[in-house]
Amino acid sequence: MSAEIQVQAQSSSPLIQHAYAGRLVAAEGLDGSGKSTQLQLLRFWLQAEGYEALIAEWSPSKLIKRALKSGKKQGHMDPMLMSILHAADFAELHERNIVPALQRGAIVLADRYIYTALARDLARGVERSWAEDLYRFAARPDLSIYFQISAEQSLERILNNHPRLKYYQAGMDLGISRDPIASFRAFQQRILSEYEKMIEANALLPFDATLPVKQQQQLLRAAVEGILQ
Amino acid sequence: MPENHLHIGANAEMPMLRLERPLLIALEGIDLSGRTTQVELLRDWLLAQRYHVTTTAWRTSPLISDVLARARLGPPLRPLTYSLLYCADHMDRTQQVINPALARGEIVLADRYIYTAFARDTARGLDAAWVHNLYRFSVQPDVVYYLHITPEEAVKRRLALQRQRLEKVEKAGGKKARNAEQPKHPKQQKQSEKKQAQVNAIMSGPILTGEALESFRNFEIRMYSEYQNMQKEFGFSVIEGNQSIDKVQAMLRRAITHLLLNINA
Repeated sequence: MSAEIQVQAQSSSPLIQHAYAGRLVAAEGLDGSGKSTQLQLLRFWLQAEGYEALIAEWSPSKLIKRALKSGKKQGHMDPMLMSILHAADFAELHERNIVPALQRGAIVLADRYIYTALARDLARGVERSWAEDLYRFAARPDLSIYFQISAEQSLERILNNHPRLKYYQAGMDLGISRDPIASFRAFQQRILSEYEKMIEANALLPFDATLPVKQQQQLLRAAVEGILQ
Repeated sequence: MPENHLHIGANAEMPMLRLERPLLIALEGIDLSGRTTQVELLRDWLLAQRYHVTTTAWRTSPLISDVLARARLGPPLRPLTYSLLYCADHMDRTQQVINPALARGEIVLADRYIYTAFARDTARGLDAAWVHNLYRFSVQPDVVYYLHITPEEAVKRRLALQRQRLEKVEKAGGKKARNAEQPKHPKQQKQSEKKQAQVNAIMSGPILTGEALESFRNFEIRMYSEYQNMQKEFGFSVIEGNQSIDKVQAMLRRAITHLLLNINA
């Protein structure tokens, strides 16, 4: 992996390039990869530079959480159904926050975008072409950065903050293992292999998220500067 | 009917009929075209003939109906978000209701199906190809009966229902004092409640006047044009909905009788 973030022109992302005045940066990667911290730092820097910059965080809404909870109680949650519910949440975020900000000419820093959702869906066995079509309404980021860490590093960082893995986070719905840690490892391996395919297809730019925070930030700023012109 | 088509259930005196293969029948049409009434009548008719029948309608998924109900209470969501939530409802019903019933060899009656979603989502400006792809998982119905009424007729029916409701409210106001002393016969009370529930079910939402009525009219016009476009593409069987309930029902029964004869032949 090169230390610099190489912006590739030829991307085979399923998404269509946007024509908004603003810029869209997507941060993808496993839980605990440090995306949020880096985006906060980027936002402060961009604001100090005089840009309107905001973070669009994709996390499950209250609405969706209820359905996911009942699915968990029933002991069955269909992967396609879960994709749709997450996509509904994302659609709201996209239409309500991301698109209007891009129209205004703002810089939107997306804390998780469709590639993470897609990687999870595919890891759960959802048909690729259906899932790719599902997210096709989303604007293609001008920069999609993949915060690369290993499944073990992800596990360690999550467990440092929370004593227990969450049900869906550990992929417990897949029935791989009754042990959350074992299930998490197997699930993350599948997700990682989906990320790998996206990197190969140039939809995602890999970035070493184990580097010191400061160094990461310098690299990210250089990459963002590259898309501001 | 040959004996091997009889499914002997727990009650040997009332055997239920079993089809050679399951049937999925969808009723479509713009608002107030009479779908729900017709589906209910068809269900009763088929049950009386001792067929196993399952009905399904939008927003009844065990998992999603609650999400949708809550979504409708809160601030309005974007058309795209609704589209996806409705699709989730349809997906859950496909897995929990439609597929299991079809696997049991039943007749499934759908009070509106995916074409409602196609019409509504495209009428709200979403890409038709994208919406079609979204619903790729759904079961192809054996037949779609399209109850055709014009948007003008829909508006007329809506206004008539509103008048009915207003009259009821006025009447109830006048009667209130007497009713307090003389309670209604429980059965009567139940019947009138049922009728009120029916009116409410058909005409959900507020009384429309002025701008709201105009936007209702415009939406029905858009839906109508989407349905008209889909007619050929999806091979709808068109049934004129601007006739009496009995006449529409008779036409539906005749068509379904043919379908059943073909299957069991």
